[in-house]
Amino acid sequence: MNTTARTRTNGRSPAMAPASVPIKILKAIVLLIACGLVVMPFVSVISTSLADQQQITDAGGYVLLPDRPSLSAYSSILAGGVVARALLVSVGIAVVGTVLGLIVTSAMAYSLSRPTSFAHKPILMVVLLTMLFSPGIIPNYLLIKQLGLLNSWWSLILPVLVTGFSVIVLRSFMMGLPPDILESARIDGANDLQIFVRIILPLSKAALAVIGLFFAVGFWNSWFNALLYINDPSKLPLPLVLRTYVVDNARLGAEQLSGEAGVLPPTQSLQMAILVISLIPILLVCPFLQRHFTKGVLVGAVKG
Amino acid sequence: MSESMSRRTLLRLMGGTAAAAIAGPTLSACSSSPATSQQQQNSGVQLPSYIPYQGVKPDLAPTKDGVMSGFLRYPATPIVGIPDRPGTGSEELTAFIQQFRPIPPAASRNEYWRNVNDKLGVTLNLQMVPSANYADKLPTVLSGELPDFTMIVNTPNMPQLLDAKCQNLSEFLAGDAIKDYPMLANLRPEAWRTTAFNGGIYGIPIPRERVGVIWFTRVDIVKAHGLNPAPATFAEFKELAKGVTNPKENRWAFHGAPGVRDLILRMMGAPVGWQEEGGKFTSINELDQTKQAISDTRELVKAGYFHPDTFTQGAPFKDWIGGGRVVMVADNYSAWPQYVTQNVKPGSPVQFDGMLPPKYDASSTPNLGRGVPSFSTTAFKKTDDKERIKLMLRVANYLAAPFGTQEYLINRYGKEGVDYTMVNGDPILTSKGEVEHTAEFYRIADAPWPLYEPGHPEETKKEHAYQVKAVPMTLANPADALYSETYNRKRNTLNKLLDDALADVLQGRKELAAWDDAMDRWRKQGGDQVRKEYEEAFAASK
Repeated sequence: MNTTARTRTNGRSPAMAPASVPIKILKAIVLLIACGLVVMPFVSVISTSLADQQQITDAGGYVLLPDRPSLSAYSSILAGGVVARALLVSVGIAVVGTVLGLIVTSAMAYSLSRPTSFAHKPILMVVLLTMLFSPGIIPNYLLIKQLGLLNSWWSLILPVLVTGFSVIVLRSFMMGLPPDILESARIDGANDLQIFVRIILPLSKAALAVIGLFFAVGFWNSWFNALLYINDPSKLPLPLVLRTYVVDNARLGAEQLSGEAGVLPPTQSLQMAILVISLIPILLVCPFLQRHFTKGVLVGAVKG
Repeated sequence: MSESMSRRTLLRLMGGTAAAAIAGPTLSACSSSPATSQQQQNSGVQLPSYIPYQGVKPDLAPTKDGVMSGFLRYPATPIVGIPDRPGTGSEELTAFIQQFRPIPPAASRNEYWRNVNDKLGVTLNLQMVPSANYADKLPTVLSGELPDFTMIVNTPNMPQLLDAKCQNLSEFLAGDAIKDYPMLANLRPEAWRTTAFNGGIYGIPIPRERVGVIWFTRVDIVKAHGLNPAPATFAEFKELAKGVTNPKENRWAFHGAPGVRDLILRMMGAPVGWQEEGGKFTSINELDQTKQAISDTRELVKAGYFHPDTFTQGAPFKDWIGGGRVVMVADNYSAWPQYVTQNVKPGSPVQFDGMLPPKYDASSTPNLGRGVPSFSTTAFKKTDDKERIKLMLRVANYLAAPFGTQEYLINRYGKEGVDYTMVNGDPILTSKGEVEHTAEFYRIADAPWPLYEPGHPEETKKEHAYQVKAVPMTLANPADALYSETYNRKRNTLNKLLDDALADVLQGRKELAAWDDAMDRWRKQGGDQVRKEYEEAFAASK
């Protein structure tokens, strides 16, 4: 038996043969550098959010490791309850919006994926049209106003509950499901609603996870609709509140600064703390969806 | 305009900005020459009488040419400027304002806000929009029923908008009628002039001071290098820049190349904004002096005197100068208190001062650009209810109470013991006050700004001394008092065109000749039309 045959007997191709020690070390170094390049900005953002003015000045803007870490930037942002409340508002909007968005989008995608469904082509055209044309800010505003949704959280959810992109992606996925399963379910006496709830949705988990993530990130990051439709400061979502810190460099309205202002956290720390606060919820959600997300991507890859 | 959305309304709104839509009929009526028409109408407007408030005596006297009043401490017994509450407690008013600081807690959880409402006798609701997004939101506000107070900053078709939706206040404010509102009578006529449209007074000005932009300098660093922080000539100025720049020590002379270009123009004694000669207007950007100033600035950039990140948008230059990474920056006069409170500490060597422009050459007479007299106009919603207008004016009068009064403490600092405490004669915000007082009522109506550095009386004296020298040097832009619809509409496009060209030349991406090309485009894209409108408006004002 030659070497190749022996390797194959062990279940490994020559390319997968154990690497020599120097190669292993080289690979480890390359991977470490790559990981470092990815992780470093995060470390720097978190470190700067914990640093004081002197360290930021000494480091020239971004601190890698703070000597005297302090949570003053976080406590300053969270003081008064504005940011904490806005955080709750944003979580609520993201959760409600994502759940409702998934229900409406998946139902629409399913009906449009069935070639026999009523008027599915004209409706599909209407959906596609929304991807090509935008009505503009003022007509949208007037519509929301006519519906009595100004100053309501529904004004942030309803206008983006169905997006053409999500419907098309989900519809394509559902069209790829084996028709035999649906037929057998129908033979067993299932109606459309039962087929949708008991067969289509479980089989579409991967695609729903992807679309759900799009919805969640979209709702979480949305600020422009809030800018237009919400006037009550207690109803503002997080991105809009944080924007006032970032865009206007936080407490830089100099004319009213008092002597105490000298102990306020530096601007850079505040801005980095804002980044961290706005990232945390999405970072927490991602690991739970990652498994489905990978599947969703792979479905198309192995098809055929 | 009806509140319901008709098809015609919708189409008009889709076709242009809300302001244009609202103003449609009026606009067509005066489309032949709106600038001339405006100027002719406005030159006859009777402005409110100017009656400076005498209730508070400053420690450092103001001057007639615009040096601000200085206060070393808050007056020990603040005077009650307005004995009666403006409202009865049952009225409600809404204001749309730009928000320049973090969003405050809502009134229900904001003692400062509730206290102001209580003292006003009015429930004042604020619709706050981050300043960077003001232009996005304003059209939606204008497309419906206006709030009672609307903060308006340079919006297109302003005369038509004001005519269609806002109240002419002349009947209530012109001449001695303003005596009913003594705090508003304390605002200078040049600020009121900015509210004159369509032959009437269409709002309350938010006053600003003449001193304008200051060249803040870290005097301690300059002196530590044995250099003169007040150079007499351009050559000395360049020596100063060279002397303090040391990249190995992370220190550069400047931040902000456009600011240095402007400073060099001031050294030359160039006009501000526009040059007016015999009724002919020339943009300062068309003058040879500007090309020379750009060329000089480019040399300074090449020499490495600017912070390496100076061209980065949103560069934290306030931190840089505070930390000594740069030695000179151009900033508005309103920034001085911030530089002091954040950087000047007991035992710290940090010292700031304003630098006056040195002479460019032996023949030049340096000057300074005069600050614009008003930041914005607070327009009142149009109504036939005269009592409501008077109520709104009383509220504005209260919010415009000047430094030294009890009302100023309430408007700016909140409730004593809750939002601020008096420490050595200065009101110092508590941490609760820091969070709550970001509700910016002073965007509705404001008092003239004082020179006041809590806990740093020596800094107040320094600022006053700077103004005594600087303010007489200031020169106004002749176009400040004129209205150009084209400039109001195309301001951002025209400015960006020149800013981009300037950045290209200063950073060495293009040669100086690119500035001439940019000016050609500027003229074609609206600059010539702006000039024409200014010339017509100027002629009409004579």
